[in-house]
Amino acid sequence: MIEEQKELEAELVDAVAEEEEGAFENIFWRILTELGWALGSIIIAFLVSALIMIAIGRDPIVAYSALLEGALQSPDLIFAWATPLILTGLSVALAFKAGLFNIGAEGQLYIGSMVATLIGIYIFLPIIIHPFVCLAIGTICGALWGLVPGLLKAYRGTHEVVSTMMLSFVAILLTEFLVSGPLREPGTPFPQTMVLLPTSWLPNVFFSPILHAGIFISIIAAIFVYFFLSRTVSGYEIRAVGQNPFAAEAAGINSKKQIVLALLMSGGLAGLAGAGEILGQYRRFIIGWSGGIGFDGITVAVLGLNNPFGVILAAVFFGFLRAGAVAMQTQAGVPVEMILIIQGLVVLFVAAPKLIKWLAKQNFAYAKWIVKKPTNALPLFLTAILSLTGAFIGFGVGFANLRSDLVFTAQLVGIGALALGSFAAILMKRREGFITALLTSIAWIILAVLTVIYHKGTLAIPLSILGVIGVLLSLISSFLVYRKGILIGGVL
Amino acid sequence: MQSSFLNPLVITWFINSTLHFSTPLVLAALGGMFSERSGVVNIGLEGMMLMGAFMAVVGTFFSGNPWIGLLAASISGGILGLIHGLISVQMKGNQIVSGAGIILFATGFTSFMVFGIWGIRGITPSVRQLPTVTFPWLGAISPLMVLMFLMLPISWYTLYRTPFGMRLRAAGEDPSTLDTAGVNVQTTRLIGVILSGIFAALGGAHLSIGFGSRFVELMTGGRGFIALAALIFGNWNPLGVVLSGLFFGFLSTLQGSIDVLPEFSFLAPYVQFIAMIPYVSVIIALGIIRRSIPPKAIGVPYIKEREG
Amino acid sequence: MKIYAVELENISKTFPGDVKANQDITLRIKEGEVHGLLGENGAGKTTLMNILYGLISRDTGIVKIYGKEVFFQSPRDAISVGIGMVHQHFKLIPTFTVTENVVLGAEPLFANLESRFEKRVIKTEIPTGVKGQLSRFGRSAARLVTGTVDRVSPMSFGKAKSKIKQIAEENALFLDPDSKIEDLSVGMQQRVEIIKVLYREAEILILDEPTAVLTPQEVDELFETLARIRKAGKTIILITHKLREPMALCDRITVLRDGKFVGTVEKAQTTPEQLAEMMVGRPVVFQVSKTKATPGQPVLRIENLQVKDDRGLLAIKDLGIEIRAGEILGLAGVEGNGQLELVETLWGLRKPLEGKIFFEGQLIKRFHPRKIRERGIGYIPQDRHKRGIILDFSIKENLILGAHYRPPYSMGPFHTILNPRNIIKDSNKLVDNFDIKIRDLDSLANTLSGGNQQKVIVARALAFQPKLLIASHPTRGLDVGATEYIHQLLIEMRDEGVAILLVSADLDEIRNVADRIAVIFDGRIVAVKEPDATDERELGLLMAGHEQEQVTQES
Repeated sequence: MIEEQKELEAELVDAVAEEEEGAFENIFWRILTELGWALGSIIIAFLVSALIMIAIGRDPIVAYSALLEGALQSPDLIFAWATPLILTGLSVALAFKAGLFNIGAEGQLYIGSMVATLIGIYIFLPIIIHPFVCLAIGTICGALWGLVPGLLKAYRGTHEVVSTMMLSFVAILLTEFLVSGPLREPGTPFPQTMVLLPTSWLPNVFFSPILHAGIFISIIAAIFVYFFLSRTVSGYEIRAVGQNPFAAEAAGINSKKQIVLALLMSGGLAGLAGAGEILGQYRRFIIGWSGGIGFDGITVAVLGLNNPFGVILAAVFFGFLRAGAVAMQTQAGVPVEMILIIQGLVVLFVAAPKLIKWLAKQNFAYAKWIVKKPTNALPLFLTAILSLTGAFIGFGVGFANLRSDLVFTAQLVGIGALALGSFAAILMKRREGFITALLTSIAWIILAVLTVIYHKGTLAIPLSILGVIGVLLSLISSFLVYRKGILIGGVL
Repeated sequence: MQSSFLNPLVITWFINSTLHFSTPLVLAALGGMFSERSGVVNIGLEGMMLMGAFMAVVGTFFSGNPWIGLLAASISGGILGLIHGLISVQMKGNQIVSGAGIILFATGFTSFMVFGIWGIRGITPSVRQLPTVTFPWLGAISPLMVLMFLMLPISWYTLYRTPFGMRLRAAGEDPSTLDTAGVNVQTTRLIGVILSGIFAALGGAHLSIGFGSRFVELMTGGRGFIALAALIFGNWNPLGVVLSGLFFGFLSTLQGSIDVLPEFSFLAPYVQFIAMIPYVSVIIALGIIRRSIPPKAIGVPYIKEREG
Repeated sequence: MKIYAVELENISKTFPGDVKANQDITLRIKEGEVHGLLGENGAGKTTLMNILYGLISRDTGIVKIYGKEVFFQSPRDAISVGIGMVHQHFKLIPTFTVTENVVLGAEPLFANLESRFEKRVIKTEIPTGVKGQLSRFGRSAARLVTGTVDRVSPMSFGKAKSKIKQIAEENALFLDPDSKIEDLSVGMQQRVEIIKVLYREAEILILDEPTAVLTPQEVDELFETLARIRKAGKTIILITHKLREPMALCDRITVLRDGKFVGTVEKAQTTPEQLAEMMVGRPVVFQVSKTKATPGQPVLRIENLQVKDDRGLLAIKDLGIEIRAGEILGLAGVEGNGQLELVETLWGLRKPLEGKIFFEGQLIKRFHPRKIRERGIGYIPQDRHKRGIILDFSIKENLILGAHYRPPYSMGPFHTILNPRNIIKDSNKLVDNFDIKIRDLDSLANTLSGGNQQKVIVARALAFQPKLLIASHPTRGLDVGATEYIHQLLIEMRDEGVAILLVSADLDEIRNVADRIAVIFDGRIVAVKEPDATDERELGLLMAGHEQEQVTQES
């Protein structure tokens, strides 16, 4: 029976491989397609979120510009948020490389942070050594918390999704017990420990009140994980086990050992994330301080395509969302929970890389086209997305400003209509689509210039960015269409 | 409350509270069973419950009728199930990632909409509860609690005695066999996932309009994951799921009783350890005793042999 | 004009990666005949039948059943016109009972509202215009409702069981409808599969390599059953790559080769030799140019080996064999007689229960692929996608798989760091030496053709100059060019003094390449022959389990 199951799995693996085959032969295009899909997911998520905002009567443009401004005003906040997210993202991504899903990073993070807290409060050590000891032991304890599901998976066959999840709750409750009982700071109404000894603090960097030295640890960890996966024997073996356990076994790789090692390291990274935040940010253990940083590691890893550097980018993106969220709430009246919606939507879209293939099967002409010629269709696809974004902004802002400035509104709505038209034309695979897209983009630039001249400064930057990208994209797509003769209008 | 442990009032409270706490768990876990027996992991139960709890209040608030609220809840849960199904079944995406996305989306959406609709943060105004009937010893029984008990025979019967149930189990054990038998695997799985969304949402609705009368931000508080634990601890079969759901509900009651019954107040410092029992018991059941055997094809998207 | 049961016209199918599984195949099967579909592994037989069964979509071509053109979207459509298929890997659910497995997808419904509705409605015409649209909508709604009610109504297992019993008795397929599949033997499971098809009242039966997993007695029983089914007027399509089977049972035989149609012949007008020639597309006795072997010292000696298979049954029972340096020992046998277990034991993937294995005179004690490899044994696994290659790894990563943990590919403390320079250098060398066609070393292995993937595996196995090479089905699924290349390579290795164990299901391959032929049956070596001193018939009989004395007597 086991053999049959294995065979079935192998068949599935084959089938998947064969399905992928052909379409993305070149590794460069493969990466670009994946990247494009990740970016596309973000854009779609923003658009859907904008719809939700409109549904409750908020202006998405105002909200997004507040988000952008808020985040750009405090870049240190972006990276302060990204610091732990990088590590938890790496934790999930590393396990994923071994074909494992560590959804219990949250628990490992709590264990790591709790142990770091203990050492930070109760052990006296000199100034530079102290934080390192805290971090090291926090990492080790996080790793031990990851070791348990690793052992269970390797030797008892327990599915790691279940065991990491359950152990994560055990860890959270355990730290809750400690912080509300034995370790509670006397005389406070709120369950929290005493402040750590100052010797153990991670210093703030770049003169920022919130960004601490943990950011360097995170980046070093990302480089380390990259190096580990691509350049060490163990990393190679972990990837081999993750990709094809049967071939790995035949090559003499001990898959049990690699599974344990992967979850051990994964737990360690999560523990390090927790310890770093305690030493650098909170400087004491407060009940429920993480608020889902470990769980968000899944999101980061998924959006970062399980690549260490991708994880950094994804973490910075989510840090950016969080950093701007408060400004969005105060200025646009859109609650901070909006970023959770965006995050969830991004994950849902990234989770469905076969969306286009599926649409193609449902006979959507454009999707068919992308499936047939993914590399050539990519700029066309982006052009279409951009047109849609443009249309959205045009109508959104246009209607929002309807009373205040009729001319400006009319211009925006007009361009929006043009953009929508080009989107539809591209979707219907008409040559005119790209020319319309080009015109729209040029119009955006003109409008941006006009707004600068007539003191409507807020929209100038997004408009000109949109315009320039649009011009480039539509030029590329038109070039492709005319020179390479991509099928236009015909049936595939 | 001045009481001795054997006071009928206390016993009634105990039973009633256990039933109250179990209902969302059992409903969500039975829903999860339909999804997982068909081969789709659904860690998004938490999100579906939360959405159900919220939509129940929304429906009740705008219609004034809790039954409409219940309908709204099950529709919203069904939609989330459909999304999870489309992503993980039709598009062969990763089921865990998709589930995590559902949780994030539902968490954000519910909190966001509370503010969006009522302009207050974190909590909705009170709405009409589902009607209850009071029984001796059992206390006030709401319709969803009755549904919980009805669901045991219904789900057992569906799973083991109807063509649909047999196909569902086949989809979870060996989808290619089901496919060659001329049954559409994807549709079968999709229905399973949608059912799981509906029942999880009903479980959530019990929290907001059965047990209480309003929606509070993050009110499920991890019950979706406990439901998942109950599903695994109950070995993916209806009776086991219901029993472990009741057991975990009882544990919650025990936790609650610490505040209410002086006899139990000595447990107060250790309340987290009681809360830990469901999770630890799953680890033990799966890892150490190995009593639980998951469906064989769970978590693997079905790809036809050399799909063209 | 006689009506054909099945007509496949100009069927073509190309899989992603430009694998042409079927090219312009035309096949006609008469009603009531047993039609053999013969071809080597990878000739496209199963693909063609999966197209007929609706499992795979075709790129071009027409399918007609009883003269009527059909368009199957799924097996459901095929089943509804009376086609049934017994797959090579049984499609049975181990935790279900026989009855449950048989009725899956064709459940004995309590009310069966849907089909009653269909029967009533089918007589009425659909009106045109808006009314037609409405009535169409109404019909699909009614179908949905009746179907749903059907699916959630109880099943009448009693009716199903009595029908199963009746079918079983009519065809002498005795089994207990209440036993679970996981408790049944392989032969019994096949009976369930056949009952499953008959239960659906199929008129056209497709059997995919039904004898591959059966014992000779079970094969005989199967053929009796099939003869009985034919007598009942049903049409049977038998997929096989063995020559003897179609000759024993079939009325007509169609041969496929490399996804193309070769020809259809009447059994009465053909011989096994002719069929074999059609199958391989050349005179069977094509000789790989090779000199006589000059065997040296024994390299590998196996004594009294016993190994269990995955089900815990004894797959290798008291096996003994010896391979010398500079010779190719061919291991011939019907698949499933212990070859896989033997190879996997030699490679350290299984632990022997009893017995000793000596390599160069030393007893092997530690069975682990890494230790085995370090002793100087190379391995070409039989299932290249499962055991051989990691499709999502780059070519260079695949080329060092298994050797990656030691210098020159690793360096630093405890050899923990990979050495990219050496990896690239040696990969380039291997790619040149073995003529592997790649775009660049960093492309993923799944961009390679099957032949080139196999070359990667072979290159890897030979890269460190092994003293013994275990080659398990090294040419399976490869085209002629790649096959000959690998045969040539094996002989070159032999001439350099390497001992080679060649396991193959292809008797011609063994006869052409091997210097000695060992026949394995039921976990034992039943005979060792020189290729010149034996013929296909004798080997065939030995492979089928006839005793040596019996064979000599018969000849």
